[in-house]
Amino acid sequence: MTEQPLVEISALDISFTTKSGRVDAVRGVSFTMGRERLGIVGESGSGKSLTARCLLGILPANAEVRSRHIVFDGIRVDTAGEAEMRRLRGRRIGMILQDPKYSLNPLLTVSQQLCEMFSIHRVGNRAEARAKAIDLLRAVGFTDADRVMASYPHELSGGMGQRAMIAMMLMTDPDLIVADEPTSALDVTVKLKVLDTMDRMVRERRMGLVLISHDLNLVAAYCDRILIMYRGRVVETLNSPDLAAARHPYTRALVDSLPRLDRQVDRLKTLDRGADWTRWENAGA
Amino acid sequence: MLEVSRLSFSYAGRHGPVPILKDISFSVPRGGAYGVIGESGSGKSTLLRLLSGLARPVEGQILVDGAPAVRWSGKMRRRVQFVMQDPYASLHPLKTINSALGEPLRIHGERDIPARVEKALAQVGLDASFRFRFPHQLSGGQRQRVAIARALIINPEIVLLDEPTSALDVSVQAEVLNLLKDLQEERQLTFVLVSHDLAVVAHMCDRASVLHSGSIVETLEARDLRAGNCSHPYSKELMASARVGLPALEVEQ
Amino acid sequence: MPAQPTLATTGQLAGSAPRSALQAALLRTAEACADIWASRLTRVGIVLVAMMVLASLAAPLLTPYSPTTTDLGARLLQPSLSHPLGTDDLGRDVLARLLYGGRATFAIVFGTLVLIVPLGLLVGVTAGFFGGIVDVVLMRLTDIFLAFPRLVLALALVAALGPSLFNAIIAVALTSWPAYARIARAETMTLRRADFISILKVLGASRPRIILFHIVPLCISSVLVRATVDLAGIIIITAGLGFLGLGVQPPYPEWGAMVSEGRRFMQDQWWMATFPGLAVLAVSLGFNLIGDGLRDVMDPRA
Repeated sequence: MTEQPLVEISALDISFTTKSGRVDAVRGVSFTMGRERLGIVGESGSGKSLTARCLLGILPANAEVRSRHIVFDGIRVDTAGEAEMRRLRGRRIGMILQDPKYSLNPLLTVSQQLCEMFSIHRVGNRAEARAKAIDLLRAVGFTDADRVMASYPHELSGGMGQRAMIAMMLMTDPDLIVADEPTSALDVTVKLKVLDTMDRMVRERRMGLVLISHDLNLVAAYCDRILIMYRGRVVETLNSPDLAAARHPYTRALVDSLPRLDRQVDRLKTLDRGADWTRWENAGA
Repeated sequence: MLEVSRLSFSYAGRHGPVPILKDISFSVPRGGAYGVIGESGSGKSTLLRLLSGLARPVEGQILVDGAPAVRWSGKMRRRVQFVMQDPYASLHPLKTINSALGEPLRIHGERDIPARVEKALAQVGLDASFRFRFPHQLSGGQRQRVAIARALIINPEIVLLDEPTSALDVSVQAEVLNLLKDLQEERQLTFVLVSHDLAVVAHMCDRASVLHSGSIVETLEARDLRAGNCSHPYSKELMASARVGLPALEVEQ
Repeated sequence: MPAQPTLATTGQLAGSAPRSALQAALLRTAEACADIWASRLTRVGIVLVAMMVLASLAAPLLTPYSPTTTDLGARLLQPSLSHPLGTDDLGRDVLARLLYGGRATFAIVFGTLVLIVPLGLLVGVTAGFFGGIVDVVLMRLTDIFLAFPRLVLALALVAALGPSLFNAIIAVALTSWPAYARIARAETMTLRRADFISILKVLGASRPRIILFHIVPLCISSVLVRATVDLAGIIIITAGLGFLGLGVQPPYPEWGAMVSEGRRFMQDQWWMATFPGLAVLAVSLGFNLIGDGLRDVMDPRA
């Protein structure tokens, strides 16, 4: 990478204090990314979502965050105030969550929600907003953009809702999209269409993408680079084409524990949970 | 072992009956595993409700070992059991594991409950220390093991599996799938597995039907599933989704 | 998000795992009690109520006077060392009457509770579980009771049954149960479609078994929470009945009746009405605080 990195996270720790003691959810995570497609893969509780949310400053209130630095395009996110974060969120970093049912406001039309992004960040006037919204809806694959503009979220299917969400996030031409399990609420056949749409938009607009998922196959297909997280640590970083050659035993175990269409096995390999994988921390980073 | 013939189901809507399942027929031999592949809205949940006796078909019949499943009481109940998708919702939050596993035995008035509960736990790979815990003290994978133990404790012949691993992490999924395979072999169980995951179905089942808007559009042997030999456009679409990322995972042995 | 306890870590956890059903239940109860006790306001409520209940039970130890023996030579005395809360118009010690009167008040409160919780649960859970015509009939019945103002209905009932402690309990209970039926019904409606209820059906459990052993235990907590908050209201209705002379019959003391008797002397002998009034206030407050605490612990949604 010759350009200045888009995101730089160094020595990030996130912990929670609960009734039963302190929980270290993210431990010493560091990575840099440019305008590329970065996948973060891990099982539930691995800290993958927290790491990404930290970039937008939308962690739960009881989270304790420590880091050497978190930088987004030259801006120190870790020391930024709430006002500065608001300018970043939505304007320069867009976020796509798991279920459009919950991330779209059920009382507003698609048009209202898309144009609102424009007015919040004062990007342009209403006519411009509307024109842009229609453009984007067409770009994400709606042939009847005018009808979609006038509809409410409940009138859209899950896949349509998620595509509308993508369009909404693109209204302000952000530099980075964070997609947290964007397709796990969708049916398998719809999943690919949504991911293809997202992928096309990210490439065309030369944006960065952070794709968080538990699905190794999916991330391998849609990302350039993959971070594997386990218990709050990045255990391995690799380029997607090299996934088959992963060295870390945890990554290997993840790959081997999936039932696969192209290979018949009698028993699936399981994880040896006693192994001390975290000692391999940041290997290959 | 299980024979389903011309099963239909619909519910009364405002503008006449709304069909959910149309003309479903298949049969599963004893010890076999049959897959049903479908997405949300395909009618797969309704199919399982019919097979488990939670709902009655409008037309058609279900034969369990040659006997029509009409009156779901006593003996018939014990022959067919159900493991549901969400291990967080399928256990009573206020009952200990001991109580959850003992309940089927108490319902059927059986004896020797503590010993059988302990044995059932051991069979799904949980030690005796789990007996008196509450569901919230268990992980998703452990809960699903308890749900499997509960279904098996009254020795059913047919087990209906509704996406048994889709709420679990992949490494836990492998453990649960291995467990199900072992138990099936050990007890000659007949499985009906509903899933949207072709790889899981191909791993577990001998044959599978693709269910789409209430009808079976295609029935495939496991080897066809693996090879991608299918003719219906919807099956092809499913097949394409299931193969995403596979090239990247090609391992040079 | 702690790492999931897995098979590999069960060895360590086994040490703390309960080894019998009784132990598991005790552990759970202890945890719940610790949670309830953790809130300061709830502690205040528990202490307040516990003190008043204990004091009324221990009345003979705390006061040398009888609550019913009149002493016309000592009528309307101001609070003093020998009569800490003064005496009433018949020369009876107000503290003694307050302590003994608590027995009647608490008897009505707990008697009502014992009647309304099972009744409300039974009606509500049955309506919610079966739905259809059963639901319609039972819920219209509760609506009829809900439509009347509680005090007015209680008055009518006591007037019809005749004034006595027992009838007051019946009257208050009959006016209070519909709210509990509604809560239990709402809970049941969401529960009856739950996966674990479907599984029970597949296992062959009978409907009474599902209702009694599986649904009712889940409804009890919200009904109990509602009941503790409601107790304050029940005390006030009880006092209202007493105030109107329809509760406990003279000469036996009851807080509401005491306020009523003291009303005539409010101008010059303030202590006669004030102290029983304060007692009603304190107990209502105590129950309210306990109810709030219980709700926070048992119902994380609120």
